[in-house]
Amino acid sequence: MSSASDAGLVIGIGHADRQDDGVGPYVARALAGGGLPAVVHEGDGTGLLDIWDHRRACIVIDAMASADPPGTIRIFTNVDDPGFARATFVHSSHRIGMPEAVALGRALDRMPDRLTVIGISGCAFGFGDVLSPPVAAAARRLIDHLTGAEDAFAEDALADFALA
Amino acid sequence: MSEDRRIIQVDALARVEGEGRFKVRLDGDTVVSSEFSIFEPPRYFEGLLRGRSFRDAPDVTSRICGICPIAYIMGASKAMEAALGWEIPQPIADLRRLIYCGEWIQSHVLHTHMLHAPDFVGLPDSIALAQSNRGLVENGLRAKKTGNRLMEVIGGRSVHPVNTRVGGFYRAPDADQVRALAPELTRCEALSVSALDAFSGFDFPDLEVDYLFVALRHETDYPIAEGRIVSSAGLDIDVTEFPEHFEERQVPHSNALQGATVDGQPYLVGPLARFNLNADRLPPDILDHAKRAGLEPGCRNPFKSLLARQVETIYAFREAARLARAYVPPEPSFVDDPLRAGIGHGITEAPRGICYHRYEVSEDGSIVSATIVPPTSQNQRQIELDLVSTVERYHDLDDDDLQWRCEQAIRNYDPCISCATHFLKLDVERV
Repeated sequence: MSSASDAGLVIGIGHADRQDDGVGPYVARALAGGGLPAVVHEGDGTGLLDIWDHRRACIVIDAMASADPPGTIRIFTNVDDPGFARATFVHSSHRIGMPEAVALGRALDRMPDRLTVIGISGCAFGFGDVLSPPVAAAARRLIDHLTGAEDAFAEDALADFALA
Repeated sequence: MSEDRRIIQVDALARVEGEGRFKVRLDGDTVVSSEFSIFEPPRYFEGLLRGRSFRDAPDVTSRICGICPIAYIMGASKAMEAALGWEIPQPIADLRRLIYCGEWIQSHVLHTHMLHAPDFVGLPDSIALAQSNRGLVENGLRAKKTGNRLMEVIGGRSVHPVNTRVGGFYRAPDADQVRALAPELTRCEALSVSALDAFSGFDFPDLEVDYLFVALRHETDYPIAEGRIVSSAGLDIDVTEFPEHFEERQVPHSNALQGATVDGQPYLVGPLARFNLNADRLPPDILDHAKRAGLEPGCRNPFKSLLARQVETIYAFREAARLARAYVPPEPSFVDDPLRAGIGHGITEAPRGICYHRYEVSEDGSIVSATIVPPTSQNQRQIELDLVSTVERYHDLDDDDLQWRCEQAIRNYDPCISCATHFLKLDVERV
């Protein structure tokens, strides 16, 4: 069982009723049920700045629409990573999504001390609250890893996590 | 293709809710055709409601939009209460007005500060704006957060609130929590006045359009959730008469229905219409702020809708602070009178304009039929005409600048294409 830092927080973003877009909320709710500090964020990305502000470590989990096989997990610990691009996280309200929130947070100095973004490639974004099988499997692996970590918010907590 | 025949294309318009396409064919300096196409499949909310309990309508219809769920909750609730003959006590009506202020604030501030303001200072987005005018964006985020907080305290959460129901609220919010919001609401009113002053310095395009304005009008208050339907042509009707004066029409190029008067005239709903038809309902000092910013009653410049939205933001903070300070938990927190068969109409002022609901319910409270007319559907034809006016007025701009101006003109409406039913692309074809 993890012993999370009181300054750490997992944030699941996405629409729980749009299949794989709901993977972030799905993982966050499972982690919260397991005792980790975790919340679901709905609405536009500007609200993330209020959540990030002054925190030591945040892990954001979001669905991706990418060319990767469904269920592929990508972990971004550096938001300057070229892969962390506008086109990666495309589902957002008023087009203020993850990358825009990061850019805005940096412009306004409202980033957490350490931000980790975990993207999970989806394949189904229709109506419904059931994840596709590959995304559900990826979510399960991520949940198991984070709940089993000694400190889910430690800098190396995801270092040995298998991405696919 | 001659030199006069150019094609300008935008694959996806940014900084609006939902996506769509616009195409205009331009011959020299004359627009020969224009189409505003919304081609995402219909969402069938009205069909989805048939056969369900009347109690489901507010929660189901609130899912039409994550930005303005209160508009759907309140419109559906009021229509159902009218159908059932339920009278809503004033304390519950006041609490509804208070949460509605929260929605106006968060929706308006998101649009004015984050989505529309960059257009007026030649910046691509709010990120660039934050780098050049950090204070403006910081204050906008603070104001938006306060609007969200208002919705959370009353509605249980800011997106798709869960504490509302036909007849009122499941639980009356805690008095101390509500009253504690008042100081920050007042501080944000002052910040919003500063933002209006900043916006007033923008260089507004000088386009004037001969609009038919349509909005609610209340006996004493600036309209939010109550009033009769009025227009700049002298219309003054009860909300039950909406179907006799307005209709929706299917056009070949769009999946969303287009609103018009029954004699085919396009009309405008939203902040500019509300302001022009209700400026005398604003507190005098707020009207003075508007005038000082360059927004006079009678304004027909669609680009100054930015100012109208910000004036309404100031008003919403003032009104919310007043209601929060005076708040006493309603007891009981909802009406739950006997059922009856009936037909009910409900209209409120969503941030983007009037939103109409009509329901027929049977004796057991199940929904027989449902009709919902969101504001962006009503504005859709007028958006097309605004783009024609914009292209004709600015045809001498090069393609990039003309495209920019067209996108800015569309954002004047803060269009919620998701409500109307989705996807915007912009093509300007010069033939």
